Formats: sequence, structure tokens, C-alpha cells
Amino acid sequence: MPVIPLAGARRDRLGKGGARKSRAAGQIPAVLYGHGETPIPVAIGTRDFEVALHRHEGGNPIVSLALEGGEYTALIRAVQYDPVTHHILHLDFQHISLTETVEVKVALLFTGLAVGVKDGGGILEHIMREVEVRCLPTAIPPSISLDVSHLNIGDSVHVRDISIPNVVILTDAAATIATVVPPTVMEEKPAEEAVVAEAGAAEPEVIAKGKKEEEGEGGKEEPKAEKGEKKADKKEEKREEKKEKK
Amino acid sequence: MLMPKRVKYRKQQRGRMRGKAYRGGDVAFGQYGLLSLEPAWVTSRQLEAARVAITRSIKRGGKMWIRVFPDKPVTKKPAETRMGKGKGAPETWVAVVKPGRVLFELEGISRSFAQEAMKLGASKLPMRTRFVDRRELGGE
Repeated sequence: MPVIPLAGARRDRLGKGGARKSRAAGQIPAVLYGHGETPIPVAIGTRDFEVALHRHEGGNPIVSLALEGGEYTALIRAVQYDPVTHHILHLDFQHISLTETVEVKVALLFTGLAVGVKDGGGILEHIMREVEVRCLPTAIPPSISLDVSHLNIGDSVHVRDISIPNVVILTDAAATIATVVPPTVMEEKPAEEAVVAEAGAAEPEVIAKGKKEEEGEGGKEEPKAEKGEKKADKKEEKREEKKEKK
Repeated sequence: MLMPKRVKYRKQQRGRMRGKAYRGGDVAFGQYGLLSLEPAWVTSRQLEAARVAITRSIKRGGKMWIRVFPDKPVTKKPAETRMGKGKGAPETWVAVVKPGRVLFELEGISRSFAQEAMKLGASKLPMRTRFVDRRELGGE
């Protein structure tokens, strides 16, 4: 895996205010930590970051981060996104050594169309989308390809089926990665049944203390409301009588 | 239609829908998702209508997940009732959805089919939505 060169600057203003200032200035607030060193708050140019990672494949990019104090080899450990715009809000760089092993999650890539899907109309269900591995930073695979074309309905692929040189897989070997499940049958309820079910389940059960209150409410509310209405009617009658007298 | 089986209290206060959804915003189970762009109360009827539209569109293929649940009771007073006399009776159930929340997820079908299905489902919902893919840094 190639090391991506990236330039950054130390960040003086910390906290949400400082982070917001950085974002307003077209930078991504980030932090560099690891190797028992004091974490360094940094800022990376948004455009520089996008350009640098444009051609990168996989989810574990290794960057060579150039700061005023020197150059750091780092792994991008976490990325925070804005939930609506999906712009990057914050980055976590973990300072690593290229000669020490790291533990990372690698995405699984399924190749081929399963026989059970093609002929049997089944659905390939992805139970696991990434596996945890331990390897040297330079040996991190961009993704792990798995051929699923031989899978029939009911067949599965397991973690033990993966074999990559120079990489130790840490995820449980017996864990299922993907399975071909039979097609789902759509059950359309007749209209009448649906209406009955709807009416029956109009209000859920109220648990414990709430239930007693509900029962109490139900018993007292209606008579009160009736009394109130009767009073209002009497008042109106009296007003009308007065008007007639006048 | 979706509603809780048991609740602690029959009625709730309305509340506010400020900010964005900082949870439930990732496509977690499937490959494609429908992202909310506006805050809204999604009723159980709207969710059911969207679910039916999506399921019919994808027919037998694919798998669908509903990522929101209508767990908030909404009360309503009867028609032509004077004000006062307490809060109305529970009328419907809603899911409180903030911008950035993934509402539905799909898997096992092509991107174009998923887009079409989500478009049909989105037309049953009370807010603007966007079709989204599973997020991977640097692509697959």
C-alpha cells in the first residue's frame, strides 16, 4: 500500500470553537496521536485531503503527514462525517511505524453472482462486511475479494475460507461472512383482516404504574366531561332566557 | 402497522425537532439507504405505505430494513369539542425523524432498481429525502 504525502499545520485553537474556525477556513480539524506521544491537534486543507485520497482504494489509508515539527507516518483511524452533507468534520491520525504490525478492519469484496441467486432466485445476505486483520502497515490489503459464484441456496462463506499471505485474520474463523437465503414470499393480507388487526391493536398495553393511572382516567374522565357539557348547556339556556326577557 | 406493544405512558408531550440526527445516519445493514433531509414526524401509516411501495417495487429480490420505529403517541381532540377538559385521546403513532437519519435500507438488488424503489417509497413520506450508498473512505 503506498504512503500518501499530506501537508498539515498545528492547530492553536482547540475545542468546538477552534474546530469551527478551521472548517470555516476550508480546513479539516484533526488530531495526531499514538506511540505514547502527546496528541497533536492539527488542521488539514480540505481540498488537499480530497485530492490526496482521490485515487486511494480501501479504507485504511497511510499518510505521511508533514507538520512544522517533522514528518509523521500515520494511519487514518477514524473519520467523522456531517450526517446530512456528508462532508468530513474531523480526522483521527494514528502515528505508526512501518515496521510494526497494526490491527485494522479490511472491507470484503464479493465477486461473481451466486448460483443460488442466478438460478434459484435467492438473496445473497451479507452478514459481515469487514474482517479484522493484523499485519504490517505496508501489507494492508485495500479489500479482500471473495468469490461467491459457487454458492447455492443455503450455502455460506466463512472467515476460514479467506487466506491472504502476510496477514493474520483476527476475526473468529467460524463466523459466517455471507449466505444465500431463499427468496422471501410476499404475504398480502386481505383488506378486511388488515382492518380488524388495525382496530384490535389500536392502543398498546400500559405497563405497571401507568396502567393503574389509565384505568383510573378511563373511569372518571367521561362522567366529568358529561357534567361539564351539562353545565355549559345550562349556562347557554340561561343566557337565551335573559335575551328573550330583554 | 408499526406501533409499540407496551408503553409506560399513554400520552407524550410534543417536543421539538432541533438539530441533526447524529445517530442512525449510516447505512448499517444494506448497501443502499434513504436519507432524511428535513425534520418530520413520520406516521406509522406513512411508513407502512412507503414499505409497501418499496417491497412491491423490488418484488421478490432484495432485502429491506426499516431503520425508524413509530414509538411516539400523538393525541387528538374530537371534532367540535370545546377547549379544555384535558388532553385528547391517542390518535396515531409517529417516528421523530431528524435530518441525516437513514429511514430504509436495501440490499441484494442493482443500484438502479434500488434507486427506483426508494423513489417510490420516498413519495409516501412527509419530507425531502436523498438516496445514499454505503460510505467507504476512498471507495471500494
